[in-house]
Amino acid sequence: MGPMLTKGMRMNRITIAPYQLFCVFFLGRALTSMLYSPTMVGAVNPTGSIIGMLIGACVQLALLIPMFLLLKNNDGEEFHNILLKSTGKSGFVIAVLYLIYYMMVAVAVACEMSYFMANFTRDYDMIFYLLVISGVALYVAKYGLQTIVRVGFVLFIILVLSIVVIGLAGVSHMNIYNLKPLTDNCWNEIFDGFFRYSSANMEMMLLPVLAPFVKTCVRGTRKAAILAVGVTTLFSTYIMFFSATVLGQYMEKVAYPYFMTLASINLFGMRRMDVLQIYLWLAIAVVKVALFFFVAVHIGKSMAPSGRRKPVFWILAVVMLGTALAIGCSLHYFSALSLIVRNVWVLGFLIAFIPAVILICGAVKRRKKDAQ
Amino acid sequence: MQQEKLGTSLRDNLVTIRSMCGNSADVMIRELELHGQKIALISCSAMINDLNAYQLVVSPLTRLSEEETRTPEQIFDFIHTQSMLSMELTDVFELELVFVYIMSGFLVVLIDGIPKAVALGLQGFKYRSVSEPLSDVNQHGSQEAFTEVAVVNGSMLRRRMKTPSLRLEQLRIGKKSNTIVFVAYLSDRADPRLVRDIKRRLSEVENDVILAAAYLRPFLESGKKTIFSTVSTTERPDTLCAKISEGRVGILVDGTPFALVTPTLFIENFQNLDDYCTKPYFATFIRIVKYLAFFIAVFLPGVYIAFINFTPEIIPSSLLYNITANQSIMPFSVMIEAIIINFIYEIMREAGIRMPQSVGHAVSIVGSLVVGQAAVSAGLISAPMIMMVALTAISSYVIPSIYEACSFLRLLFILLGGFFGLLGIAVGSIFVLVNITSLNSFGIPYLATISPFSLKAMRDVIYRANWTKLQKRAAKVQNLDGAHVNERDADE
Repeated sequence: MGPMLTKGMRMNRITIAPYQLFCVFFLGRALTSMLYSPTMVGAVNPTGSIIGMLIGACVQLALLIPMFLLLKNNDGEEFHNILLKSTGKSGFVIAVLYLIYYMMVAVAVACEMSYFMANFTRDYDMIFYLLVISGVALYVAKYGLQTIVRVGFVLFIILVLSIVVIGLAGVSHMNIYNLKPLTDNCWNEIFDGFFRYSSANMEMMLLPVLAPFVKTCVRGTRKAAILAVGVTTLFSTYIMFFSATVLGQYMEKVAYPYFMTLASINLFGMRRMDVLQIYLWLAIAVVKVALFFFVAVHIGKSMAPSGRRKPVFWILAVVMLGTALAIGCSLHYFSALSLIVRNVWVLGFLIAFIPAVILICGAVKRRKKDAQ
Repeated sequence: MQQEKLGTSLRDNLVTIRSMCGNSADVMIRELELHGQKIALISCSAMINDLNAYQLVVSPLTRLSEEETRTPEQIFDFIHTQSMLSMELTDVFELELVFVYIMSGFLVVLIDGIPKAVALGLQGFKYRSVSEPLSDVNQHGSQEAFTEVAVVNGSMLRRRMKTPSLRLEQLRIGKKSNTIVFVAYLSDRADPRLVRDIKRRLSEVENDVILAAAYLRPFLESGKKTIFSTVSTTERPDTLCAKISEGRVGILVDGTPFALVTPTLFIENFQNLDDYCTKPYFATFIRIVKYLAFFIAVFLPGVYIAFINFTPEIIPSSLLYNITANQSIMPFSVMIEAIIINFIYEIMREAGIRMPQSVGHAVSIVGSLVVGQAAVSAGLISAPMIMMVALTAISSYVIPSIYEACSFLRLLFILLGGFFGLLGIAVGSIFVLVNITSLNSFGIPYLATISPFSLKAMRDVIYRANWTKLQKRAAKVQNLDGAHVNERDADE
């Protein structure tokens, strides 16, 4: 009676399984796909976007190579240690850059979700949602990484189940002729899809910080990352395909096409199942914000002198809440933040360029040492 | 109580014992003289079997010849080595222990000139006989439940698990009550560190009296604040056997017809012995029903209120018309209605439990028929709301082990749904989920095997595999030797 107590269930306080890392990566990326808004980024051809996404996934994996090599060379080591070891004091500056980026992503995700909620539920203002999402995310982050990934896994299961049910319910609404053929301007459309997809890959930025937490450190992290890129690409393609075949040209004109697709599906006689779905998205957003915030706090604590690490959480919490409130008051800041966070060059710089530079610095140092 | 040693003088020992118990009426001291050697028999009134005491102790002693009783040591040796007085025989050196033994149903023999006593187990106190379980009812398993006597409960385990690896370690807890507590586990299944940690925690209990197993529960639970319990209870010996065969530890407390079991997982609340006695497909179906019942018990009224108050567009229009028609003539809001009917239900339930059984039936009839019907007729409560609360009440009894958590959460979600709609429900759910996932029971995640996920264990979570597959897991549990519970992290 009852499940057996296997060795796998014994918890080590600081490790997470690769599948848990995959789940939180997937959730984060899935949220971005579900909240995709063509009206914000300019109308696109869904067919071109799908092809662009598939190319984008390959490029994403290629961009991750320096990161994987860096992790392999420093198996199990904390990210800030790698930075300090490889680049000396400038490593501190780089760590601060990453911390700022993680905080910006946390705030941006909270803002995006709040903006969406405020527009579609119309029950409360954006600031109210911002406070709720940020507050709950801080609560989740306080419990630590294990709790975040465990909650993430439960949400992952619920999301997958809901996607399957919605997919089945939506089959009758799909019309393959709604997909637009590629135009003469197809390369632009594909490139557009490629850049847009590649720029929404913030989760991979977490790899260097989370790797030491993962069981079978580098191998587990690599497996989770590759799987996450692959599955999220399939998922994003599905979302795009589903929305395009259900909504047709209307997709290019609505703010949140997947949400509108859900709204148009009548599930088992229940109308407006989209209303239920957005609260699942809210929970996913909370996990995503909590994860980025946790990672920011972890870096902050690593950099803080020992004995002064405890207040880091609360200092960053105040910073996050303050920034979120400021952004909530003015949508201009929100747009600016989204532009920075989703800038493909910023991502490329942090995901590929810095790890490559660190690798090169490390190799040069080693060569100098060998020469001596 | 003083930590005083027994002396060689019987007279002095008896004076001390009499003064310590203040000549309490139930402490019986019988002094005998065997061919010049003075002995005293001490017992507690109605705690020993008088006939056995006479036949096994008094009679053999009085039949001893003068040669056999020349020295006190000879009598002591006779009791120790040559007599078949009792299977339970212990030497006692301290006065404090003399009291512990006589109050546990032992007959204590003191001999003049010997600075120690012999305690003979001749328990004969009256106790409730083994009866059918009252709360852990099932159809196909044994109909025996634990009783109040820990020794009897231990014997029920022994009868079911005839293996020397079943250990029943005795502890005494409670400064005044000196309650007997058995820590039951299988030495080849349970993690030694887990057992050690449990015993350490129990030994740290400093309560004066332990009158029920629940007194020990907080000492074994996860240190985190939660409405769920990481220590479960069972009143069925077969259930406890099943649990300890999986490496868990049972705690039997004298005076309580329930055993505590730890570590406990959330999913165990949805399992019972009947699941393992029926066909797998039906057991799986019943499991799904139980999980659904949990969600209904916790969320249904809250979600209903949220739908009505904030997102009525989600409800099919024909149903919405009916609800609106009903609601339009009600004096209170849906949330207030739900709170009122929920409290009325809890009052009736509490009354039904506390009242004598015969009156309890009357209360339930009055509650369900008269109050419910009258409330609807009087236009105080709408009929859909009565149905909601009735459904949640029945659902919460499908999973009785988490009834308390369910009823608290139900009220919480009624408030959240009433004030904030689905947003409140979603945020509340996140809080509950975070709380439940952060819990560890002696290093085992409370929400395992769901999150962290364990594919192998999934054959006994929602889906219940056939015994031909389930039996294989026993071999795996054996691998727990040298297990991984970290005592330091037990509270994490």
